[in-house]
Amino acid sequence: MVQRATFLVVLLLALQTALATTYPLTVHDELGAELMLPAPPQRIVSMIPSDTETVCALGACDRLVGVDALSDWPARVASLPRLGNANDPNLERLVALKPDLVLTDEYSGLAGRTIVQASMGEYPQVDPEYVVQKDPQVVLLLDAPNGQMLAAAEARPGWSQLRAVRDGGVVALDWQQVDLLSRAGPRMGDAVVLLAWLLHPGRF
Amino acid sequence: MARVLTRTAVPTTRAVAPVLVSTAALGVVLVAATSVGSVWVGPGALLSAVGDGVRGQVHGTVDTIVWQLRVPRVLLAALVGAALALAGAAFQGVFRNPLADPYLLGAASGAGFGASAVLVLAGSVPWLTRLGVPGAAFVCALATVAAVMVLARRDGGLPAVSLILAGVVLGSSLSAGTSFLMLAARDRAAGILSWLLGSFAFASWERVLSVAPLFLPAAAVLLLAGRALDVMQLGEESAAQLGVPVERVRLALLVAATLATAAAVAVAGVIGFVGLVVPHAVRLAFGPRHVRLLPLAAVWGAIFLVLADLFARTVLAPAELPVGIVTALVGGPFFLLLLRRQHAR
Repeated sequence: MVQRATFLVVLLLALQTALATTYPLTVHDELGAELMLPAPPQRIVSMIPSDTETVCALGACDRLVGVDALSDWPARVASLPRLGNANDPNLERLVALKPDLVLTDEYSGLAGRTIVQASMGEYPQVDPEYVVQKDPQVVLLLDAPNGQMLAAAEARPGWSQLRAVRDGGVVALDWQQVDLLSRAGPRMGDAVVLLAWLLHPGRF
Repeated sequence: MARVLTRTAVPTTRAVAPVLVSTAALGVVLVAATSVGSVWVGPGALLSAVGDGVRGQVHGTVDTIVWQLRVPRVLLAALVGAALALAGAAFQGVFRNPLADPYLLGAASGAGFGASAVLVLAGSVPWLTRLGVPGAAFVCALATVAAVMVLARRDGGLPAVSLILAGVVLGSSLSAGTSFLMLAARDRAAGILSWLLGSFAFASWERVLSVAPLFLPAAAVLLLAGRALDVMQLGEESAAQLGVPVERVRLALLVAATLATAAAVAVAGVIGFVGLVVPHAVRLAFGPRHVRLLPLAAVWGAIFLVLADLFARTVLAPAELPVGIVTALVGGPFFLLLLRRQHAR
């Protein structure tokens, strides 16, 4: 999973240095994970619109072989195969395109799998039965600063059985953490580190 | 409508049968709704999960889903549906107005404002956090109706027109307050809106047990007043001449209906349509006499809301629709169909 957690930084490094640098090239993403590019990437899949635009701005639009459902600029990417959205990509089609670099949403890359699908909308109301049935390992309470307390969440009907509750995986985020996770700004790298630390406490 | 409302009374011996049949229908709907959801639970598994739950031996995912989530949810929907339809029938009878519904005196606007205030301010105002959304909704609903009654008082009585006007005006003011809160705290707006549209996603045994003690005595008062309500349909003066203590009956009915409404809104949000239309549908199907209309409205309100919630939690699963959207969107056309067929007869 972490190999797919590639960032804009990797992309910029890879493309800017394509002329001056010798391959194989090893770069580090913001998690510190090593990514080895044996040759300049020729078949790129972008699963985030911002990366699609950046790839094209760098003059490498013709190297794109597939994009996510939301990429719509520049206009020429409209003719490329659509691979769903970053949280829920069409993996079979993605593999079939034989990309040598996949630019994905950093969160989806390392978050494991979220049980709430993007298609359910921005603030989905989820059937509580579904949560119990899916038995998540980690629950992030983004509402904790507004009084949605940890104890109240864990006392919800049926939650005492959840792995997240039994193993201490219900985490009440504070304001700073909520802001960090909800702002797609220059601190996005910090957000990824925070998320990685929340999801894999032993490894980060 | 006029023809239906003046239909002559049926003998009381025949009055019991529809109630029995409807109650049996409610039983079937309750069992069916408890079987369907994220996991299909067959009759055997359902019985064993309920048995485990009653004995306090809830083990495994199916037991947990059935006993801790689905059974309380279905029961809560039934209680709320019964409360709203019964209160609606009582309000329509008291005001002799087909447009009356349980929210006429401001209970919904009051509850909405209280719930919104908690959803926006709970983090910064500790006592609001402790009160919680249901607590604040309940208190504000009762306070609003009490204020409406005080404002509408004239010469020791409660004239219907003053009550309705005071209810509508105070309700509008409180709705404006809720709208302001939604605009002022945009990131809370989605949560407020989904509460305002009603949901049983937060159903629990705790909520069932908090509504029942309020609903049962209120329902008893309303059901006992059926005969007095029937006499009051002749007009308040005639009813008084026939020995009905009109003012006292009216006050008792308003208080009981308000209590039932406030308890329902507190645990489920503002679910529209049930309290307005279920009494009309029952009137169309079974006649206008309150002795029979009131119990049947309660039973069919329960059936209707359990089915509406079943639809709300399954049609987009695992996402949920606000149940208030379902009641109006699905129930509206159904009622219009019923209305047309009745007129065509």
